Amino acid sequence: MADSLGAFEQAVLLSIVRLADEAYGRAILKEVQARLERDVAAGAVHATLERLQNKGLITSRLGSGTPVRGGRARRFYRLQPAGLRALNDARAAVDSLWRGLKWPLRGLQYDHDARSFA
Amino acid sequence: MTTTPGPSPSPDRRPESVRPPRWAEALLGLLLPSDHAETVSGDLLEEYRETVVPSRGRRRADAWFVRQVAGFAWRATWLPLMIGLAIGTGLGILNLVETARSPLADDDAGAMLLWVVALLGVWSVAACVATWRSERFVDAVKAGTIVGVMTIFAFHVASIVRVNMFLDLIRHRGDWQNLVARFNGSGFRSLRTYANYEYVKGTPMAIALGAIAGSISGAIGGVMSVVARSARKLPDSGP
Repeated sequence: MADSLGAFEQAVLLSIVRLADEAYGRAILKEVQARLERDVAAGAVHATLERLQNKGLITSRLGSGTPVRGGRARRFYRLQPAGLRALNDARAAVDSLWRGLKWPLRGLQYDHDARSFA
Repeated sequence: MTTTPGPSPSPDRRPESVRPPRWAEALLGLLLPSDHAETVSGDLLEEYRETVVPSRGRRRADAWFVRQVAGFAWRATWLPLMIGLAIGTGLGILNLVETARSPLADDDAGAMLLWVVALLGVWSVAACVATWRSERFVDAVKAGTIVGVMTIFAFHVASIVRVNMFLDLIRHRGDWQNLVARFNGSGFRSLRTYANYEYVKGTPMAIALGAIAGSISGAIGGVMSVVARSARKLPDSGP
């Protein structure tokens, strides 16, 4: 199994998956903020993108700028096969951890007959 | 029924006309690697203009922009900052302990030279390590400069503490007689006040020297890093 992804790394990678061809820096920042329902520092997103690129999980290319950006180029990101495997592995790991438990957890009463938590 | 489009916003109210603080934009440009400076600053500018200014107003948007730049600054500098603080604080504590043991012993020129050479070596290694992943020579110089500045700053603060703790003893040292003579002709009433004044006045120069020495050490560290990486990439010679 690949090195496990942190929660924030997963959030960034899944944002790239959702945004597809529109996955550039600012769009990824807004998508992560919307999904996590909290403000996120731009530096945190860019540091994570750089780390994911160094790990070979994503690649990037330069795209055109827009007037609102002062004409500055955008950097678009794309998931690589290694990134896809890492996301699938992360989801499989979480599923394995939760197997036998019902979400959301309410209490810690164990039903011995059903062999599960109520 | 035809509708007439509304008037376009006046030039100074279009999103593209609003700018964050220029000094913050300039600082961001210094902090970011050259291949990311344009795209990252463009992302921040787009968010600032399209989301933050309309929702928070100009002043709070400027504060938001400065906070974002501070975040980038921290990420770019925290490691050399911490290394420099640790080295300077450690040396400062050593100096305090040595003064407590032998308050009247003058500084030994040979020992001080050894310390300086060792310090420059440590700064070079720190710069080499800090930029091993980025592989950018300019990052090594930046890292060395920050390590140098923070080391000297922390050591200088510790020296001021040392002077205040041991003034009554160290004023009788041979290497303090020049300062005592200057105090006698200065018009200050208290040697403690004068000594603190001298040390505080000397702080900018000390930090500037730390920055220069640190940047030179950083350059050496950058060269070390390039040589080490080239050596790793050399092909093995055949039998």
